[in-house]
Amino acid sequence: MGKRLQIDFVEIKSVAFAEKSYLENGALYIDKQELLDKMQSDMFSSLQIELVAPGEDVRLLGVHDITQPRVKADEPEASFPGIWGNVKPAGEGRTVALRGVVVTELYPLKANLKYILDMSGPAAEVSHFSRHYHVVINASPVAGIDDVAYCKALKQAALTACVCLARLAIETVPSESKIYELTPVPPAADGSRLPRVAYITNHLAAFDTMQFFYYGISGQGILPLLVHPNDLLDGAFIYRYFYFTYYIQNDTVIYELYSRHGLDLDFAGVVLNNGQTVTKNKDVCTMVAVDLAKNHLQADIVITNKCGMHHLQLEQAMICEKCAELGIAAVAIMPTVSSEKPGDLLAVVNPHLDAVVHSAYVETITFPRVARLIGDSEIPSLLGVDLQGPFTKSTNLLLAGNLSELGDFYPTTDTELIRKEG
Amino acid sequence: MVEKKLRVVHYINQFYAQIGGEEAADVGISVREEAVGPGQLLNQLLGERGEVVRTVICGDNHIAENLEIVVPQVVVLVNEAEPDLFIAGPGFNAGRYGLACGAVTAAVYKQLKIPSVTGLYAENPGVDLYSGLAYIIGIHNSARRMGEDISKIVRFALKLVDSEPIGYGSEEGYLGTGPVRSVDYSVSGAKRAVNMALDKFYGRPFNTEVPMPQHELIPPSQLTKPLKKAKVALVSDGGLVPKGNPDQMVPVNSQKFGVYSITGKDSLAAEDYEVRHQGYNNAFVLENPNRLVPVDVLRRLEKEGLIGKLADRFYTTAGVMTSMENCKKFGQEIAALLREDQVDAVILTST
Repeated sequence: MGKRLQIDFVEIKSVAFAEKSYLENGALYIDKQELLDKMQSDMFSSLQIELVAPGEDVRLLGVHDITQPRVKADEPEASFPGIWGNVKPAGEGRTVALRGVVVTELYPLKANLKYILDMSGPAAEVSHFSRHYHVVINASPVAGIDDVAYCKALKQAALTACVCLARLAIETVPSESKIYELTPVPPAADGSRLPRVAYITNHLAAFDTMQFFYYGISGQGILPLLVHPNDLLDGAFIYRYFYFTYYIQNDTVIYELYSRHGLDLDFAGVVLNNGQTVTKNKDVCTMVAVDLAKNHLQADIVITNKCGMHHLQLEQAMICEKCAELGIAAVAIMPTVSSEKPGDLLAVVNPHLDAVVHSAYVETITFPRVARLIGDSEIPSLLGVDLQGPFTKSTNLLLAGNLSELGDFYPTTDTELIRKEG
Repeated sequence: MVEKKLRVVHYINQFYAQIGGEEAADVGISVREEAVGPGQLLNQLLGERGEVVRTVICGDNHIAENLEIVVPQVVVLVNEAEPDLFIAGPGFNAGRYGLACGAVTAAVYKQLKIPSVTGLYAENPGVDLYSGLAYIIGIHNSARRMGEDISKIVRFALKLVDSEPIGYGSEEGYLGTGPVRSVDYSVSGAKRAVNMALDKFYGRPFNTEVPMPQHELIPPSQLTKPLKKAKVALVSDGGLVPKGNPDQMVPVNSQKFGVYSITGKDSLAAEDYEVRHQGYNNAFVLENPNRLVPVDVLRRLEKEGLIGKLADRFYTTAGVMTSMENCKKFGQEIAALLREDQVDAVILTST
């Protein structure tokens, strides 16, 4: 039998600091000092937690990662196995997830790309993360430590917060309970079978402070892996700088394939490919990835997306080309490559990219003046700009929660959460 | 069941409206609630499917010289007629008329989100400007075969109206990429991807949402003098800027390029430079900027006489996630400056 994962989503309607941590009727109360003590690290010269609510007149600066609080109900110590806590297979048993609150890390060190998030006004309207409560971690590094040590400590602190908060909901009746299991799909009465769909997801692990981990092992240099979709959803995969782990925990492609498994398709499985920086390696890895899809997952169809900047479009093109050679129908999901004119931000032009979904477009909006800033980072794409606003900028690679590289877009992500205006 | 006739709005200039030729090119916008000039041919070809219910007419000078003001006025007049389809021209090889046809077709498509088509000769200046913003059917360079041209336009327009899958321009007869495809963003990208994949697998028709652009091939230019007499410049898209980033260059989606002096420098000192580029690990460049902009090596080659001279300025931007349009603009402007600097050859370093 395959893995069976149950995710119980518990809706959080408000978050506040209190004398003790508990959850009652959707209201989450946090004992601030207790949480700070659990998150403390020698790598931090200061550590603060701030609560930010939807609709608040505030702008977060330097948003580094956003994670959904989750816990393994039967073994909380293995909630992010290999990364935080015990090593144990993810993707089975019962996981409790809080919906409507996220743990948000700010990044004070030098980075070339930093996101911001407005909780009210026009920029909030085009971000699904503005609909969540944020438990914001603002930690300063001890002078002289290297970036990697700090990154590691920050990630441990964030995952600690995730587990501590989600633990409070283990006994709570969930608002939604989902089962994820790749059950075998029998042939129809006439012997016909549904097409088998493999999902090849390309993620970039480029260097120490910009990479992903799978069960705590760095993605740098790994070859394509056949992975169970539940492992990706259930805490085996996290980012360390670069993107928001929330998008993996709630991978919309996996959700979609599961929702149609046995109905109009047979979800065959997932290939996790590390985006390479050298063209020859891209060629090798996409060859291996497509081989896994074809010969191990017996795929008739491949859906491929990427996270790691536009050069990973080359992986997508190579995957589509190799699929075409093998008679597999491939579709690539690409955001922000066709906003003003078709293909205006395409890094790759390839005739085999003949079935492309444009998952999100870029908008230029005016970020208004806000009452409060959190995080004192220099935002590289906002040089010479008064960070308090107003300023007019493209949302692309700036506004957290507008879109994900993997295919999310604010009109369809987290639609069950209602936006609030302060 | 009798199908409802499509309401078609047609745009033409003063000449085809028989108001006058060049002498009447300044005439302002007028509207007639019927088919006019080529609109009558349009009606014939549409037959039972549709009918021109309004013709918007404007003098070529009036619109071409005031695009920003007049085009929105045209869009309002088109919208008033509650059209199902908009057709402009065709403009053949007429410069100002072609520009107007492209501009109004693009604006109507973008703002009213209805099928909108025009027809122009491939070398009409309107094609260059608007073939990525509007469907422009490639037609003859004069009105001699207007019937054939309008029928091509009508055939394609009806495909759009009927929401049939639209193939590449080479199959469908339109020039360039056509406009950004209309996408229903209220359906998640994941769902659209799975739907498209199933359509592709079963051999059902489907529409890609990102038609691949057809980039022009640019042949490399030939050096016209011996290398030892050539002036060589360094150009980079790796984002090297002087310390302090005086021009506030952004590290992604560049809006400009920088030009910085290297006069009298034998090499670039690490303490004088920084990198504004978010797409690669620039630690090695910070350690030694010459590894991105190789002033040290070129200066040596200059001394050795392998090259004539190293140009006194280097040109820099961050290429990462910068639009094709900006890249093209930077390229043209940098090339003009290189010419001003009497540069013969360029070494372009990328990351």
